[in-house]
Amino acid sequence: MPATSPSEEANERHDPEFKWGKKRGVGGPKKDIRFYESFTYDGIDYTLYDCVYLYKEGEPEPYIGKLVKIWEQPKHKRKIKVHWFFRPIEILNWLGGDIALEKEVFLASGEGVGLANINPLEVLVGKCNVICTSKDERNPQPSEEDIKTADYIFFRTFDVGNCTISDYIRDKFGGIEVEHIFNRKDVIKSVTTTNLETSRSDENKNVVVSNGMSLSSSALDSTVSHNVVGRAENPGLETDVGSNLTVGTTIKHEERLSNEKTTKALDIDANEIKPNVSGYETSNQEGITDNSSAHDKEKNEKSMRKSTVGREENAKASELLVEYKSKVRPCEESSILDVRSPKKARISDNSSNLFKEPESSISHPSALDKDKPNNKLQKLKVVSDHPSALNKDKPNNKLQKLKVVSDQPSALDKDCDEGHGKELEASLSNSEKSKGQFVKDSTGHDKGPSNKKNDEKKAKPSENTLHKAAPSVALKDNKTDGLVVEVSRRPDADRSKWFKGLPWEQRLKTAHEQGTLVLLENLDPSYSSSEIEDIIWHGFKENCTAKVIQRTIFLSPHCGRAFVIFKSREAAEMAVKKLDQGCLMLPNGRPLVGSKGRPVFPGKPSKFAGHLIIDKVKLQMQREEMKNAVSTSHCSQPNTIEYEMAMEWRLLQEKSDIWWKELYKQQGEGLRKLRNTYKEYVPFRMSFGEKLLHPRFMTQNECFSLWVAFWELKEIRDCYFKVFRVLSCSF
Amino acid sequence: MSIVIWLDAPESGYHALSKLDEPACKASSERRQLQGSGAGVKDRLLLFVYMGTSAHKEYQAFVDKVERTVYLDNLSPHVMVSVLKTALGQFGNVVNAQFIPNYMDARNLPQCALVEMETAKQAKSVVTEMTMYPFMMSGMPRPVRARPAEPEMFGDRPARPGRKITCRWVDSKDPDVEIAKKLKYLTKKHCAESSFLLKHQLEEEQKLAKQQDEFLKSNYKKYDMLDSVRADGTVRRVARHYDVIIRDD
Repeated sequence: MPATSPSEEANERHDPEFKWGKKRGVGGPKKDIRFYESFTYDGIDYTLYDCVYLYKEGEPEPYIGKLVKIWEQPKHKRKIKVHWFFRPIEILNWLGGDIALEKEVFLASGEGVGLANINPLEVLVGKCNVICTSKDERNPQPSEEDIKTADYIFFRTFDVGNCTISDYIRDKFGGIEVEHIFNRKDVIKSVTTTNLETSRSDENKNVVVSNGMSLSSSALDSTVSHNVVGRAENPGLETDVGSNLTVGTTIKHEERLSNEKTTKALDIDANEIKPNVSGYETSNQEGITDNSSAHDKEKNEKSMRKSTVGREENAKASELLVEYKSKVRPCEESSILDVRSPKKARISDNSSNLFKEPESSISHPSALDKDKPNNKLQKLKVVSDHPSALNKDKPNNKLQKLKVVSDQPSALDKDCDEGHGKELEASLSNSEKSKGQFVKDSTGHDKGPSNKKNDEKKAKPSENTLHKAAPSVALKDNKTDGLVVEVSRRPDADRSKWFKGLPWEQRLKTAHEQGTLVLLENLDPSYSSSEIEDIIWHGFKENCTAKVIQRTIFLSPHCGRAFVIFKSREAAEMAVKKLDQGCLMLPNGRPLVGSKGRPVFPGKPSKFAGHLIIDKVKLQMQREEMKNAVSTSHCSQPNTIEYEMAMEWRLLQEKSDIWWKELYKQQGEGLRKLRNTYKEYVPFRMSFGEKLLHPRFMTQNECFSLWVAFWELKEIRDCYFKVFRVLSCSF
Repeated sequence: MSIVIWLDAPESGYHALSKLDEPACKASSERRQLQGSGAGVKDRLLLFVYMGTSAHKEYQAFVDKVERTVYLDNLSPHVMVSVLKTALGQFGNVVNAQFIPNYMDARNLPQCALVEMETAKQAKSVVTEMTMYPFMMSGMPRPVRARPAEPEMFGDRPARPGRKITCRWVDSKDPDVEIAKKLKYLTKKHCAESSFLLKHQLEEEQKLAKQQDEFLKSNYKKYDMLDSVRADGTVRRVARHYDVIIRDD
């Protein structure tokens, strides 16, 4: 990675981590648009036709695209044109029965929306290694190793115009020559070299795995904050995975340090810090020695200096955090998830912004300023400038984390109550911390910018792991101490949709074939589809598409049902298993029941019981009028045989009505009896007045309507002053 | 959803009001002025609390829509949306008609549909007319049944504003788990019961249809015989034989 020379740095003072590379030419009507072939941004070298990750606000995962044009407009407006790749999930509806391969993406083709876009350059978050596995003879064939180490592969294209998938790659793609679409010869080479590290880590899978484990465990560790194993593992890890990760792990130490600081601020254990500080320093030393092999020493010293500064910053941040927390705690007693909800996160951002403002009065890059604050949650997906190494173990981390959470509850169970708070702090302090670092970045120009940026970048993925770990831990906690989680809107509820979805029926069919369909039962019948999606998000941390099953007379009014399409088969199976073994309790004593969705699509039968046709008449009708006849609807007159028969049907309908009513009544009583024994289900046991005053009941609107309906009752009048007290509290 | 609270003692109400949040207060004070202008209700305070205005509006629109909508069942599978629209066009303007898809039962159930009329009044009249007189659609003699629609029948219903849903994973050691398990079991049992009842109903329907079919056939046969006797001249011959005069009419 080339370091920016001081002179250049002066030129680019407004944006330290950016530098143009090779120029291609000028264009535009006034010749004021300059085209480039390469540039360095955030310490990453980008060249034309590189595959990149693009961050989009609100998306859980970054988009993948190919740089097809790079230029600068007057006033330093830097633009890139990006040709898109689609993740299978984005075009699920058109995949039909095809199941996308692991890591497969689809190249956009054809004409229309979604082929390519012009974006500001600042949305780039990293490079992505996409390998073309097309058997096309024009394509330099990748080696097994290449495919194994690639972030994504593609061999099929998705036509955005007519929404079809094909595996034929045409000569030209929206103005790109085909050789830029296939693997580049040199890329293949360089990919293999950059992948050497990863392949190493790949070969010793165990190393990576244990690495992932320790990363996550250290993330958890920082929440529980007394795990020696994780700490001991870290140095070993550094040597294994190489210099890139070293920086990452030092950051991790730093993070833990900040956590420790937080704990100190909370007066929990002051002694704990000292050994840890020394541990941190030693690891930093190690980082230097390791780094020196890869980078020049000077930079490392700078990074060292910076991180010491960082420590001070952290202290500040953690102090602020404590303040913030003391504010938040009283009102947010039990719902940890609330704190994590985007709104709250923004509050924390704001608070850190306030903290930031005075310090960063030096004009700092507007683009960054705009991007960073609200990116916080999403940008965690940031990819480092060494995509292979960190990228590689990112998925591992995720997997490991899941495993850690699901398989080793004992480790987590340790002190859950404490865990809540600390984990909260940890995640908060981390976000605060990276903020602090950012401040430094924008203010402290004198210290090797690329390196610093690099550091920060590393910090992000690790912070990411922490964030990722936290919700799952929370889930575990919920399981163990039965914490009530309030279902709020999930963070990425309003996802941008490029394409209109297919009809639900087709999606059901596809989902059923792919095994991603789950049938949920025992929901409250009045829940809406979006509420069910939110429940799934809070219960399983999975995104999904849900749709309630519309109730007819034949479906019980006691139990709402919905079909839920999960993003993957594993997620669906996991959810069914969890619901079967565990118990997700919804309000009003409704444990959620889940099963594999088996929708049926009965064809249209030719006959309908009760519609009688006399064969001869039928023939006659076919001959004469049937051709231009419109099917008629009418009320029957009381003097016909039709009327007589209709009355018989009416009788049957009424009878069946009574059956259903009786059945539902019985079922309702059965349910109520059982729910009465459920101790948490307060409302049924309390008197009416008590119910109205119970805070849990108060949260439900039904209470208000009840209240309005019965306001005349003396009992209510007596307690309306009390109600007001509760009302004013709950508002 | 807005909450209306009437208070008999305005003074104590103001106190409470000051504790409520800003917009609610504003709304309520407006109402109070309105009430103040009208005589006779001086001693009462009307409290209006709005919750999430946009969501509230959306939900209100949905509630109105539900009121305008009629639920139809016992529909033949051959009925199309166009047929529905023309059929109910006799009672008023049809805004929208849609079928409720059935993904749950493999058997051929009669179709169900939701038809949105222009006004709630029209919807009501549809229900009363169809209850009063058996209404045939695309076939006889099984009549269509109409009912006022319910919010649960809509797949695209919006979330009820202001409602808070909570969920929790119940600990496996918790005594509630047993009850929860029973509840789960009960849900499944109810499902099976419904299915059984539905089966029974379908059987009854088949039985009735068959019985009616036979009745109709025998009736038809009778008429057919009468016709044929008449057509091949037997009637005239017999009439002549007995000296009876019959007129062709």
